[in-house]
Amino acid sequence: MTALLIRGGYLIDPAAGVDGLRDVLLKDGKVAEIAAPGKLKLANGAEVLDATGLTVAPGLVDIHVHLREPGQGYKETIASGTAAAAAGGFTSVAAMPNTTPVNDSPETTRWMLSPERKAAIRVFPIAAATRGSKGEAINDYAALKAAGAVAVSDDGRPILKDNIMRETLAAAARVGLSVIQHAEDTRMTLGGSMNAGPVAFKLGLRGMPSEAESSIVERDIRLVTEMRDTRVHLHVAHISTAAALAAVRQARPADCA
Amino acid sequence: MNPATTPVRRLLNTPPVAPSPFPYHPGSLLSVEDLSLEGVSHILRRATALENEDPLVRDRILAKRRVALLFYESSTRTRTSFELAAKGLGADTALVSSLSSSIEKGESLKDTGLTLRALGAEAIILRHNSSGAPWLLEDATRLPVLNAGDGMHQHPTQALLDLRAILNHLRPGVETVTAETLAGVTVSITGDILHSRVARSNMMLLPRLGAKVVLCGPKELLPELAAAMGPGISVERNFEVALDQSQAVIMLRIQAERLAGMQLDLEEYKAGYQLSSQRLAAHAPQALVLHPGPIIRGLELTAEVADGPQSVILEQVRHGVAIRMAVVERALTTAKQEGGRA
Repeated sequence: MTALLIRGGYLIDPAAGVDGLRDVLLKDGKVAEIAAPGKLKLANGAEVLDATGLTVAPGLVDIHVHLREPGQGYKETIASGTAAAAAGGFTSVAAMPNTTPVNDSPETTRWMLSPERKAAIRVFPIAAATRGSKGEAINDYAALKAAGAVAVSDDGRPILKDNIMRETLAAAARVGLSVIQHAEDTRMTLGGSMNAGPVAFKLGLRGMPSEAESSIVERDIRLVTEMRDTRVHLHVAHISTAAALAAVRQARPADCA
Repeated sequence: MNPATTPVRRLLNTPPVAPSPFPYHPGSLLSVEDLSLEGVSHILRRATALENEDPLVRDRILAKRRVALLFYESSTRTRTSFELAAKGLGADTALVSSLSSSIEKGESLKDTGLTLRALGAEAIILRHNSSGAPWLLEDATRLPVLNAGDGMHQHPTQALLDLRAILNHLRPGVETVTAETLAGVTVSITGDILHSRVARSNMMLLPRLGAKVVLCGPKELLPELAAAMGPGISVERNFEVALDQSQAVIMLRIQAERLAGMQLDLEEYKAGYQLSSQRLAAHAPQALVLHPGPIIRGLELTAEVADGPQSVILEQVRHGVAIRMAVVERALTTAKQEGGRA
């Protein structure tokens, strides 16, 4: 048996409702005991980690990261990106598909998951919803899921065509994948660099109207609602407007999980 | 694993917003908002003094100092007047324009700026198509940077020369300005406000001297929220109502290069907003007519108005040289504070 006592840290574990100073005893890599500071007996041979002034938390999960492999390893590799995530307390990341090439194939998905990538933590690839993320032809979701993809998304090139989005939601639901949609109608945000409004005007920057976000979120919610299929799961990525947030809030208690 | 020795600091409250470090160099002119009224007065006084100075004496003020002009957009008035201003003070100038330089090969603004500094430039005059570019250049080079127009954002020397032209007619002899200098004066700015750095600089400067600024144009080119830019600024959709109130009328060009796909019915625009002799005579027979140039005769104003007795368009160009001499002198003679804001 190996034991590790993490002492003096500030424990945050929302699932267990813990938010305060606690000592944590791990046995064989699993949490064995949690107690107020100084209350845990030091087992024989246990390693002690002084976490005074540090936060102790379950491994964090980031469901939206942009690792730059394949294709842009000069910016970041899966190894360096996951090492950075690990340094910040993350033990799992879900990687968006805007790589070069776009991750739209089981081969690329498997390549990302290969031990040769030397990932420091768990990587969950999110595959492209359409071929090349061009919003035209749906990928083979069953094959992508079998290769390890956990969701599909066209990332920063959101699916704008109603029929393609409908097909994507239905096909992903059949194989049990979530659909992640970037909340932006890019036809309304050409050249924009910030929210439209007085600050954008003063700075001479092209503003993006809040409707560019809310309209696509409302459209997607409408499509999901019309499908009446409880397996459909839509995840709206990075909401920043009150209207889009209200639309999601309103839709959640209904059939739109 | 290495146990931590330093406690992690927890932020319990949002920290106060740090004051802007810009401009890093006190000789920079990035925005009219950087200038106090005393700073404006200083530039106006120096403009007159330098304009009146013996050219052979003036030539020694910045003798052999090096000034770079870095232009990412085409320009006639601004570039030439900055160049003549710097040369008039004896400085050597070098022009780099985006065409015919390594910018075409993909060199970044930062690298171009650092290269100019390595070549001995002591100040950079920048025109750029991106709003905010002069701030980036100043941050990268820490040289005095003079904003010769950035995107749709600011064109501070244009506002200063417009001010000098207005003062010259409405407050002759006044060079030391206060918050009341232009009290009772209404300046209308008409046309493509949305895309205009000239409009933004003027509307941020003139009300600080007591002037009222009336912005005029159709909804597509003038969003209602422009009126919220500051005190003394209002929006008027009816051109003739705007003219009725104005002692100075600034006309702006439709910036085709910045319309970004916007559809505009030019005939309808002219019917509503073109400055014609008839409109001028009926609604603002005494007003000064200004235009930052380039003018498009027959669009935002008629040829008769451009060439007419109320037009000060070419006077503005002359004021541009004087103002830019003062601004270039300020850039190269204002010492950088040691350990100060920089």
